Amino acid sequence: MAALIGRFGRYLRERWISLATLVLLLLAWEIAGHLSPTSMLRSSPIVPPWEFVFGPALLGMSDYWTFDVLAPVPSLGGAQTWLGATLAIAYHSAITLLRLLLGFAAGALGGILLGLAFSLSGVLRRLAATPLHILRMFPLLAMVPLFRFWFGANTTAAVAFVAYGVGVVYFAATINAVSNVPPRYIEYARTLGASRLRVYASVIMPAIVPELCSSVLLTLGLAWSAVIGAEYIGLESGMGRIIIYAQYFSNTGRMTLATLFVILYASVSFMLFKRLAARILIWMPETAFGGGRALASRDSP
Amino acid sequence: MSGHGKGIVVRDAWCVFEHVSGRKVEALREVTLEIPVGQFVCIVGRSGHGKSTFLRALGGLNPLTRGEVFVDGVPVAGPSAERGMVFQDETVFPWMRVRANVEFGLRAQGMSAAERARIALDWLRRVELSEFVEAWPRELSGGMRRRVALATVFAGGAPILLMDEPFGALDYVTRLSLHRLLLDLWRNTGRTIVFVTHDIEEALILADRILIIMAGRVVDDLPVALPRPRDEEVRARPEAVGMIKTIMHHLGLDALAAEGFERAPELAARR
Amino acid sequence: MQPSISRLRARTAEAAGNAATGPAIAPLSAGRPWRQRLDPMPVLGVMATIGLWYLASWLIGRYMPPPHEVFANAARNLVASDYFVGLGLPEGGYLPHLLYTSMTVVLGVAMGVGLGCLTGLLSARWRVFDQITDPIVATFGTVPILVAAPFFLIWFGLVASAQLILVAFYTTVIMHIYSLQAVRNLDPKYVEFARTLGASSGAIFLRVVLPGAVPEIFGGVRVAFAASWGLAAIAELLGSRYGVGYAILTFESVYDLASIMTIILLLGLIALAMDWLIGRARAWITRWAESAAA
Repeated sequence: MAALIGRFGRYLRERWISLATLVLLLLAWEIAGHLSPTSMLRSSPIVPPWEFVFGPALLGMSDYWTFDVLAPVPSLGGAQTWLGATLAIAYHSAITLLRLLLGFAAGALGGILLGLAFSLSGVLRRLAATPLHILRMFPLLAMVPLFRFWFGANTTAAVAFVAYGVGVVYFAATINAVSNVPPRYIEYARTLGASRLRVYASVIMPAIVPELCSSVLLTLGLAWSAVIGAEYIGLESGMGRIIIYAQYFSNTGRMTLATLFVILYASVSFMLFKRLAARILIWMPETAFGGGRALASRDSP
Repeated sequence: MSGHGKGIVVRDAWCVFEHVSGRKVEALREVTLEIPVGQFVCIVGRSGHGKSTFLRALGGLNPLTRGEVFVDGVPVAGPSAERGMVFQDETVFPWMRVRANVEFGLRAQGMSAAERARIALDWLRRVELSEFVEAWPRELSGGMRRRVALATVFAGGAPILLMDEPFGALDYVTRLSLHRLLLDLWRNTGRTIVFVTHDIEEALILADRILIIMAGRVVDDLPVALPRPRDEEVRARPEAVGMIKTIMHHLGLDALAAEGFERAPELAARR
Repeated sequence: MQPSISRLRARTAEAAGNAATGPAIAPLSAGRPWRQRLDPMPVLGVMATIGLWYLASWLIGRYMPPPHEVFANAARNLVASDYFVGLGLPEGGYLPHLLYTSMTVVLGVAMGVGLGCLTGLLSARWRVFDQITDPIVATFGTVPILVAAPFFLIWFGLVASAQLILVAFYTTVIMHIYSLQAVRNLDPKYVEFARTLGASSGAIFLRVVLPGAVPEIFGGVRVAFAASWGLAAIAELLGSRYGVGYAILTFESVYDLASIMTIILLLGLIALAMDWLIGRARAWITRWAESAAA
């Protein structure tokens, strides 16, 4: 226990400037909140002070609770309650996270499978190279209306959108990773009598895992952008939609609150995914494929 | 032993590293020696036993835990143009053309452009790279890049040159030609050279004196009495054979030494 | 004495840039240099994709306009269009919208590159600066930059400034991260070598660290550009009166799917062209580098 406190203390000492900056920024926000003008037309000041964010704005979240169960529904005339606010936040958060994870999983799986399929044939691989490169340059976020057109303004559209964005990256990444496998490993396996399928399973797949893991954080960021972007443009539920809805009415308090939640979720998801990726890398048999990357090399001085 | 006088004076040098795990490694132990001006010293030893650490300490890149290094009576406190270094990895700036590379040290000394160019071109001529003055380093072979590095440190004017296995990654033939080049440059400039290598033959060709470092200590200090100019046949001479045996004994390679000792004349005859 | 062939070695910068935008697949077939000039693969690939598009269009019907319809739309309405005027859009076809969005992106990225490289390099040099900027960079390095969009829209209004600031802010963060990494990733042996040649700290920074960091920094520029097009478009979708996003909204209101696809295609082509330009610029500026593995 004492050791833990000691480590924490050292952590603080080393990073005190960063923490101080953070505190200063939060303070500056608070001050700006008190200095910023309010008007009768707006329901909250341009920069909402923290007590406003965690007070009336938080309470106001119950406006987004639309189910007539467990808590009164303000849009039907019920009162704003803390319970309603909590339920609303939980519900919309869950929706956003669901869309994110489903889309990510679908995209990653689809992209990797497509990539592996296309890598079976050298001709296919080379054919796909240019179109994929072009496709990746197309601005993802500009395509939200397209998906809304195709699937409607619902969760399916959001999941499809995220899956597309993530899938394209994994498709390209897999093809690249497979072509980066040193040919000598494949040749070696073939000279030992392995069939093509076995070569795929025991040589190529383990070899591409590290490279694919390294693009996990990138695609996670992409997925978050995609989900929030989709929810901004006209979906009827989710944290993104809350933010945009509040923005229409210049309700900065609710905007800030919902944004804080999104920041929280995004940060946590990044931490989790980083850990997951590290775990996978350690667990995969790292044989001669430049293995042991997680371990620092111990050269003598 | 005083700290004054020319050349390099090392007094009771210790260099202790501490790993992240807390383990202490004594890379250098109680090293005390003197290197007079103009001497060509080779340091031989097994990998990881302190050769590079010692060289970097001389260059001021590794601070000593205890003891001192004096150059011309002045204690060494950090890297400076007085002690030029050539590293094992290629030390040529890839984003500058060859001439700009050689001029780098001169520019740091505030020389005028015309003067810099003159000196640089002169040194490039001496290392036989006159036709590649405006080339990019990536267009050159490994051996040529070493020549650029040599030209750069020599042009910089450092009276002491420290070289850490500079020719290690090159093929045999290129290495031989670089030996000749280095010895030429040394002979014509009279600078002090401390040269780390794991190749005993290389040491015999180049050095006036061979220091053997094992486990951080200097275990032997052999003067090399072979007449110059030397060539690769040197290892067949009886004086050389005896030295090779001694060195290999120190390095813990006695079994190999016995075999090498018997076969050396045959190998020399075959070449 | 013959000059040797240049060696092939993967560049960290290329890899870094690729890790962010995803690996760039060389459109030219690897391992067959004598075919490089005549390589039919890119063209065949595009043709195959258009073929797939026709197939999809035939299968899906109304929700996937066929390629020729989209291309005809692009050609017809590129620089002038009565149809657009009929919808309430300014005359001049797609062009003014594309130009508007492109200008926003280019300007925003330029601002961001300047600011971001500055802060990144300062952070690499002075630890205090790094610690100060770290919280902001760390947050926006992970959290999608889109969360800032609604705030910018409120604070900076519906004018161009909101999108511009969004793009500039995003680019600043990206370039900060990339320039910081570039300096830290530079092989320390170069700095050591420079010190043993007697160079001062300033000289080392200007003539060793900076040039060495340029390849990786360019990787960051590529990444910043790639994402900025989408950022600008979606900011416009949220409430601009000009630009690609606004045009898309207009098309949506009349269910004109073909035009939406057309304008996205055109924007994509511009993004592609820009990326190619950056690539060429980088290839020239870093012509000293050993070429990346194809």
